[in-house]
Amino acid sequence: MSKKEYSKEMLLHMYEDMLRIRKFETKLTECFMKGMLAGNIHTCIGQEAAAVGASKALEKRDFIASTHRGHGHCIAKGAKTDKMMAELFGKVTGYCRGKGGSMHVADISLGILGANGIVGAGIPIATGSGLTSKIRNTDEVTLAFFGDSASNHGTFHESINMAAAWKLPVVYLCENNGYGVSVDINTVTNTDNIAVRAKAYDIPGKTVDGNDVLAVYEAVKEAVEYAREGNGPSIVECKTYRMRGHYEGDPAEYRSKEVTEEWKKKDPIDRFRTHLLTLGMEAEELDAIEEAMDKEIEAATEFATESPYPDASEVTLDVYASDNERSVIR
Amino acid sequence: MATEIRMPQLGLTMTEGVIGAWLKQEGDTVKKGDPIVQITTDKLNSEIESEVDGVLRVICAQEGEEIPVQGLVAIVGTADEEITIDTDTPKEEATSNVEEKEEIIPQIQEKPKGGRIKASPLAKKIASKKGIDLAKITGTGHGGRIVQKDVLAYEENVVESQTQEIPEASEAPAYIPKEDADIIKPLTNMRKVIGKRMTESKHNAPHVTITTEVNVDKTIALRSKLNEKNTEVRLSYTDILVKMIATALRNIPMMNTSIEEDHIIIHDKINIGVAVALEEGLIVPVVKDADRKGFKAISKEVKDLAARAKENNLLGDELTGGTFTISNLGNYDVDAFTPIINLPESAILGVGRIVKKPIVNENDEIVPASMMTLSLSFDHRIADGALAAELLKMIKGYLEDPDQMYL
Amino acid sequence: MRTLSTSKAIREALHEEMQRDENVIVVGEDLGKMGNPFGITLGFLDEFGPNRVIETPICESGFTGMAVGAAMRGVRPVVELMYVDFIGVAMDPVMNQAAKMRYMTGGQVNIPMVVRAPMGAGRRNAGQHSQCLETLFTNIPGLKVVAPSTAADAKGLLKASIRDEDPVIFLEHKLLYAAKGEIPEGEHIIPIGEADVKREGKDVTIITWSRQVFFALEAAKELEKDGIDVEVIDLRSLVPLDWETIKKSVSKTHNVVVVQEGNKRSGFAGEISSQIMEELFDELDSPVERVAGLNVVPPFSPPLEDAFFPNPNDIVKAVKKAVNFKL
Repeated sequence: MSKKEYSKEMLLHMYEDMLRIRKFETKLTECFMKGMLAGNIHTCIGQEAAAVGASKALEKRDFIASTHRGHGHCIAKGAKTDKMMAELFGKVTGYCRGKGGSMHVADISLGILGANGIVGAGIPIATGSGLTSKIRNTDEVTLAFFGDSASNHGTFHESINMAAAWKLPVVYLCENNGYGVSVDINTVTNTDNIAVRAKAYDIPGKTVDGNDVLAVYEAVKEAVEYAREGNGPSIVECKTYRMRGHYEGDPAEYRSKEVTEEWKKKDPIDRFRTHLLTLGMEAEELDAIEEAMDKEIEAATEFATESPYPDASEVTLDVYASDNERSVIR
Repeated sequence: MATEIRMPQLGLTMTEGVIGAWLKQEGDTVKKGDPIVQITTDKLNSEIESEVDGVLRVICAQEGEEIPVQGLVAIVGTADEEITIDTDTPKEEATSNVEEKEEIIPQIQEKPKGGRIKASPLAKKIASKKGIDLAKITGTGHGGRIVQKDVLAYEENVVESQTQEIPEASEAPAYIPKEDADIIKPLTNMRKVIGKRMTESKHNAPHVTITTEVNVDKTIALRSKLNEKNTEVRLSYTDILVKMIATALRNIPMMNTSIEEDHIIIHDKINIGVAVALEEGLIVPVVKDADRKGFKAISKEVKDLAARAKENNLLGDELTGGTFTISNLGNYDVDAFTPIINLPESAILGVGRIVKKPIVNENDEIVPASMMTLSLSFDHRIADGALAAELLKMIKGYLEDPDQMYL
Repeated sequence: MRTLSTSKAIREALHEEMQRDENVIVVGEDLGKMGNPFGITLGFLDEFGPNRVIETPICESGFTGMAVGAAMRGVRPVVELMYVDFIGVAMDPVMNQAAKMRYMTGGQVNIPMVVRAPMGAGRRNAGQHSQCLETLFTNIPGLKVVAPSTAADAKGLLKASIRDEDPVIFLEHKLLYAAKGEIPEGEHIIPIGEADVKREGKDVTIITWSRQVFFALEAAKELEKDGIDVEVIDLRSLVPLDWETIKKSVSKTHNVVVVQEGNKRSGFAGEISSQIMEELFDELDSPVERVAGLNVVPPFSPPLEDAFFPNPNDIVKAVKKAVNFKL
């Protein structure tokens, strides 16, 4: 892992956030199996390094646009696990008052422009956020998370083309986990890496080990600074692997068990823990963080379980900002 | 040649009939016109007569069985001929031919299709408000539809004709004036049935109607309370009364009775008929076992029955088996009336409107109260005034203090 | 009062709003030197600069989605589709993003965005440049849909749409750009959701919007000769719908004809007709008639195109049927 020196505080913070995401989603898988969760749950177990490394390279005032596999992005950008858990439980105390669920967590005050249920749809939204910073002459950077399959979407090309033409402060971060639902990316794309497409737009493009949180951090940091200085967008591709199926309930039999086992050895949290121990940190200290995360997620689950559902009368609220009642009724 | 006896169509709404007692048995000799089996339909009890002289050879339907109109009921033939049974209902064309001949042709001007008067919703609304019978109006709208203009024109004509000089009554008392503008409209089958049954009842059952005024403040409060808690169905006063009557009848079984020739049947089941006004006449769907059902179940059932009555979609057994009937004219601002008993039942409750009146309370103060008048008509052959009054008093008691019902 | 063409009135509305609020930007194809094919943004690039006049590549999906992202940040983009037909390649940002964002986030986010789109037949533009697609938008909860007819309405409603916190689909009829009308002096705003009775009458109500308002008025004049007194309601906004105006008129005339240029099947005219049937059944003296385009692809050849969309004569016939007029 990286030889660069980082403050212990920052390293532990990264470790804590990766664990927070892992524990949060592990709890989701348990709740899902017990029938406590409705809808589609897409976990990023195994991909935490990309979410955390990228988000740590951003400032609080920066923005992200996320995907259907967005729990990690939102948590890494500062979303609270209790309000997220409540949202996933469909409770009124959730981020979206139970109206969005797993795929639509958003908090503009944290710079989260929303997870998104449509593959590729977050890319132009992030580009619009970049446009906003440019025309207002402010220095926020917007980072678009998207998967390998979204890179084949028209919005990828349309957005990066505009961002490159107008030098918008956007980082396009591709989490390449090798699969679009069940389809092996190599069977539908001719290049090994997505980042090579940067050449076509004459912008920087870099492929990194997506399970190495520091490698992700360093690549994104570079892209963020490049954007903040007014040079325009970059593509950063994080090679990673999702350890579970596309969504909970998907046995992912379209992938070979051997490959999954190989990736398991490259687990980003285990690797980072080993790295932290070699840097001389105490196992007890790391264990304490893990314990704290366990407690936080237990508390979040309790909060979600005990929170009330929204009243059925809320179903017609917030479709429109003005003239809502009349616009909904007919 | 053997003759097939089939289920006749006895009313516009009739789709099937229920076989009652067989008056002739297989092997009996029958004459043309002899009643061979009793049947009941949604509206009436009747008999099927033999169409020919011969021997009742085969009974094809058992007592209690529901047979569709034109379904095979029996075969009459000679004593020794060979009988083959074809239970299929004759093809549609045959049925509609008969109908056309018997009903459609004479009414074609007012009822171009299926006996329905075509009128615009607005025309219907205005006609009903002014109490005008749409059947008397000729439509000038698209496809002969009666539109607003037609109703207004008709009303104007009627007013005009009413202001004309009326001939002296003494000249010809039995004379019914007929003008060119008058419309002669044959009675519909439904009106015929209603007419026949009402006349029979009025003629055969010595009616007595007793009335009482009831303070329904507590029932109003009960209804508001229940409706507040329960958004699924809105209880009507009729719904509440169905339950109260059923409970009262459970206590006074002699009022839950039918008369048949020389005996009275005291019914075990309490089935309350609810009179529903349709455009073409009156129909009485039945809430079965009303004493065992809660307000909500009754309310749902009454609403469902009434709605389907309006769409002509009631099943035969939803119209039969009533043991007592309620008729609520409160919505029409009626205070009290003398309802006609729905034979073979022994009584009917007429319900008037609720109106605020000053009453004198226990402290001799004049206070406002919501009052309703109940009119109970009963068959004097079955019950005397005292018994009927007891029933009325019990229902009154429930209305004045609904908690009494649970005692 | 001044007289302006509808395109000038729209330009004036955009111009006033861009001057008033620096958050208002325009986004779309050919908005710069060309000033859009109808001259709507002519001169804007010089006056407001490239940060406010975003002349995009030809990528409707990308730039409409980009506008949604900007709107989430508080920018008020006025997106222009060169033709409403192009919504086919930009539907996701409108349908799944702009329309749903507020609701899906539990009311956290507003999308104060306008999508302006010229629509309509009559210019021999054939199948992919002549449609009226309001039905696509009225079916999507979260969108407001506006379709003005006169120059003054276009100006007043565009200003209201730009100031609205919700995504508004603003449909302009190509054939009306040149139509001139009087524009009130000073600040002129028409609230979204208010219909306008363009002609009062007592026998029959014609409910319509956009170009067909003028056809309905022509038809009304023709029907006057036969003594039929027609009321013409210009809905102006389809969502939200001004039900009170409809109700008042139907309760007066008792006969209704709904007219739309777009093809008939599943059209918004059918929606209006259903609502009247459900709620004003007892007011009706005849079935609600619909006059609408044929269920075909807009054709190119003039006689074919003229046969495709409704004309005043079609409206006259429908009105006569509604009131069962016989010579």
